[in-house]
Amino acid sequence: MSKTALVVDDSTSMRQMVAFTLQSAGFEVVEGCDGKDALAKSQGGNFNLVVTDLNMPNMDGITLIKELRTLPAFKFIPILMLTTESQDEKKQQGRAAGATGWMTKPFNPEQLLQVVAKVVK
Amino acid sequence: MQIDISRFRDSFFVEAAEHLENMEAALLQLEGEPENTETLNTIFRAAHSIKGASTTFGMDEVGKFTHVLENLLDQLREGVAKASDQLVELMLTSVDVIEGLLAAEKENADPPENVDEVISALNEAFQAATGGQSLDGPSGTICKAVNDPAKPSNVTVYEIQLLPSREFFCFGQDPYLLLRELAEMGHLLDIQADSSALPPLAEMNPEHCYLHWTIKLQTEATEAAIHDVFMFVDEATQWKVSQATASDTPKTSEIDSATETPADADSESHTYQTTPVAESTDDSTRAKPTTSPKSSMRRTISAGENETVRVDRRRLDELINQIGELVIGTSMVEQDLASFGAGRESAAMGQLGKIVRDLQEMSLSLRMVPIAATFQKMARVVRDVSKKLGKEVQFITFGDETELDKTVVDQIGDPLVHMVRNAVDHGVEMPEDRERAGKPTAGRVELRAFQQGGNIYIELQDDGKGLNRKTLLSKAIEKGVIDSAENLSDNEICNLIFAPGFSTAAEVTDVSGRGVGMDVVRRNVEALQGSVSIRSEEGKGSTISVRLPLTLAILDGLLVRLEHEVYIIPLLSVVESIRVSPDQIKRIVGVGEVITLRGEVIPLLRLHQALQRSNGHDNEDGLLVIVEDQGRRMALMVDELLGQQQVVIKNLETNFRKVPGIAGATILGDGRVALIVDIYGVSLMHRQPTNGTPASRESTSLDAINSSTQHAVVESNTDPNSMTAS
Repeated sequence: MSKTALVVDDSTSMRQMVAFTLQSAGFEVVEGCDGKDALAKSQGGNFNLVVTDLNMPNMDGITLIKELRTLPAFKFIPILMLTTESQDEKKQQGRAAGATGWMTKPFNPEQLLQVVAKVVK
Repeated sequence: MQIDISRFRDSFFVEAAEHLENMEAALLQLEGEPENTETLNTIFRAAHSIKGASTTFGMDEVGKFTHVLENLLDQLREGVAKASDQLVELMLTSVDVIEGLLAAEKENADPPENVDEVISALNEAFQAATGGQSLDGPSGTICKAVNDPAKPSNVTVYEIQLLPSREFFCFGQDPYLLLRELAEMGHLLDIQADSSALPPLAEMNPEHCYLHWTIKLQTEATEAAIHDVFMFVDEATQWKVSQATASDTPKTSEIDSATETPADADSESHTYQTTPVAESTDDSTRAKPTTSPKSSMRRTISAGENETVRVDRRRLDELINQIGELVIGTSMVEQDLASFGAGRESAAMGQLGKIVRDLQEMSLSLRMVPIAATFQKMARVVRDVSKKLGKEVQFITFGDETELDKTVVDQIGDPLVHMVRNAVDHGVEMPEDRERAGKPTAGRVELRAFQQGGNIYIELQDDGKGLNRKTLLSKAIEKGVIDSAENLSDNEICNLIFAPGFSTAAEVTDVSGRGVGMDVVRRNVEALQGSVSIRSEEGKGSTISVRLPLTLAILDGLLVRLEHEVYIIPLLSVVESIRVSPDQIKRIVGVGEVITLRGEVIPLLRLHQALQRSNGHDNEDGLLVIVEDQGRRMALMVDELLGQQQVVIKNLETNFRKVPGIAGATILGDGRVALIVDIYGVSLMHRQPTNGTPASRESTSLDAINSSTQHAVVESNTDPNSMTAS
C-alpha cells in the first residue's frame, strides 16, 4: 500500500515541488493551499505524513498542526513544517504545537527526502 | 536521486507576479493607514513567500533582495518602526526591483541597475528602525547552516542514551526510526532497552512511551552528527552522547557491555555519511534550472476561494480555437443533413448543436478574468504621478470584478496607463488652483468597469479642469489636424484629443510624455475592436469612455448577401433594417448619398461599392441596414438579409492581410468564407471617396451640411479622427 502525504503551502510552486518530490519517492499526495483547506482535506483521509508551510493565509501552519493533532487519525503522524525562519522561536512554536520536524528553506528535493526518511517508516 | 525542479520555475514566476501585485496593493493601502497590522502581515507574507520559493529555485539574487526587504518588514510588523511615507515609497520601489530581478531570471537579462542602491536604502531603514543594529549582510541568514559539515574523523565508539518523553509518540516521533538512523551511521555494537519505567498494565497509557534505550555505536561520524539525529525530538526527551573507549564499561549499570568492542578502525562503518539536514544547499546537489522560460506570463483564472488549476495560456487558446472549429464543423454537418432532408428535424443533431454551443460558451468563460489586477496597477500610477506633480488625488475604482477576455485585459493595460496619467497630469489641477475654483483640494479620479450587452465599458472620470475648447481648437489648427474651427460640434472638439500627434500639454512633461498618449490609446483600443470617446465639461472634469468587446473569439452577426457573397455585420451595431424607394436617396455634392429617416439625415453607403466588389451591379431595391457606432448612424445598402448567426472570428490579418472595411473572416456552415464588416472602417470610406480628398475636409463639409439640416446629426457625427471602430 502506498503512503499518502498531505502537502500544505500557499505557494503553488513550492507545493508542487514538494508534492512532486514526494511522489517520486512513492507517496500519494493530497495538496492543500492553506491551513483551512488542508484541514478540510484531512477529514476522513488516511495519511502517513504531513508537510506544511507555516506562513499562510486563512490558517497558518502552527494552528493547522494543533488542529491536526486533535484528530485521532493524525495523533501520531509525523508532521514536518517548512520554514524560512531560522529563528528558534517559530520552531519552538511548531514543536509546542506538535510538529515532528522541520525543513528550512531553501532546500532541495534530496534534502527533503532525507528528512522524510527520518520521520516516516 | 536527482530531481529536476526547474519545471516549477514557471509556476513560481506566475505566483511571484501575484504576490507582487498583492504587495503593491497592500502598500498603497498602508499609505492611508500605516499601522494596519493585517495589511503589514499581507505584505510580509508576500515577501516571505517570494523569498522562500526563489531561493529554493536557485534565484539567489531575488532571495537576497527579498530577505533584506523582509527584515525591514519584520520591524514594521513588530511595531518597532512605523511605515512612514518614505518607507512605503522605498518598499514600492522594492516591488519594482523584485519585478526586475524576476524578469532578469526569466529572460536571462540584466538585473535592474538600482538593486544595490535599494538594498542599501533598505538596510539603512532597517538600522534606523532598530537603532543602529547592523544587519547580517544581504545574504546573511537565508542559508543558515545548522551544523558544520561532518568531517571525517577517526572511528569512535559512542554510548548514546535515549530517554524519550512520555508524549514522544504524540509528536509523530518513533524511537525505532531514531535507532535505525543511528544504526545506519556506523556499526551498532549494542542496544539495550530499559523497561524499568513501565507501569503495571492497568495503569499503562498505551499512547505513552515508557522505554529507555542505551546504544553503543562505533562510527566515523562526529558527535555533532549524532546529536543531529535527535534534532527533531521534543524538548522533554533527553539524550546523552558520550565517548566510550572500546574497553570502557558503561557507567550505567543496567547496560551490560559484555561485548568486546573491536578497536580496529577500519570497520565497514564508513558506508554512510549523514548530511546535516536543512543545511545550505551546496552547488553539486542543487538542481540547476537551465531552461529560461520565454512563455508569456500566465495568470491564474481566478484567485478566489475556489480551488484553481493553472493551465498554460497557449493550451487554453488552442482549446478555444479547436472548439471554434467544432462549432463550424457541427454546422457543416447540420447543413449536410439538411440536404438529405434530415436537418433541423433531427433530434440528435439538435442535441449535439446545443452541447457544442454550451461547450463553446464554457470554453470562452475559461479565458475570462476580472479586471481587478489591471485596475490595481492604475492605483500605483495615480499615486506615483500625483506625488511627482505635487497633486492630491483620491482614486476610486468600481466594478473591479467585471470579467473580460484575458487577451483584452492584457492589452488594455497600456492604454489605461496613458489615460490615467493624462487625467492626473492634465485633468486634475494643483491643490491651490482647485481651492480657488471652489473644489476640494484633493482631486477625484474614478475608474469604472461595467458590462452592457456584449460590451464592457471602462470609464475614467476626473473632476479636474476639463478640456479647454479654445486651446484644443487652436492647437488642432496649428498641428494641421483640422483646417478650421468652423462648424465643429462641442463633442467633436473634445474628441480631437484622440487625433494623431495631438498634445494639449502646454509643455511636454516627463509624466505624460510627448502627447502621443491619447492617439495611441485610440489605436490600441481599436485594435481590440473597441472604441473610445470623451465627454468633458470645462471646469468640471472629463470622462473617457472605452468600449470593449467581451470576447474577441465570437461575434453575433447579421448575415447579408451582396451579389453572391455573404458578409457579416456585427449584430451589436445593427439598429434596424428598412427598405427605401430610390427617390428617398439624396445625393449631396462632394459628400455622397444620404437618406432621411424619421427626420434624421443618415449617410448612406452602398456596401458593394465601398468594398469595391462590383461597380456594374447596382441595387435600387433600397434594402438598407442601419448601423450605429457610439451614437453615429449610417445606412448600408445590401442585396438580401440572410439571417443572424453566431460566428467564430478568424483573424484576416494573420491569415491573409489587412483589408480596409473588413474586421475579420469566418467560416460558414456550408464551408464558405464570409467576411465580417468593420463598421468603423466602412464609415471612413464614406468620407474618403476615391479621389483621395483628405478625410478631415470631407467630414468637415459633411458635418457642415448636417449641422445645417439636423441638430441630431451634428451630435452623432464627429470628426473622423475621433471616430471609433466597432
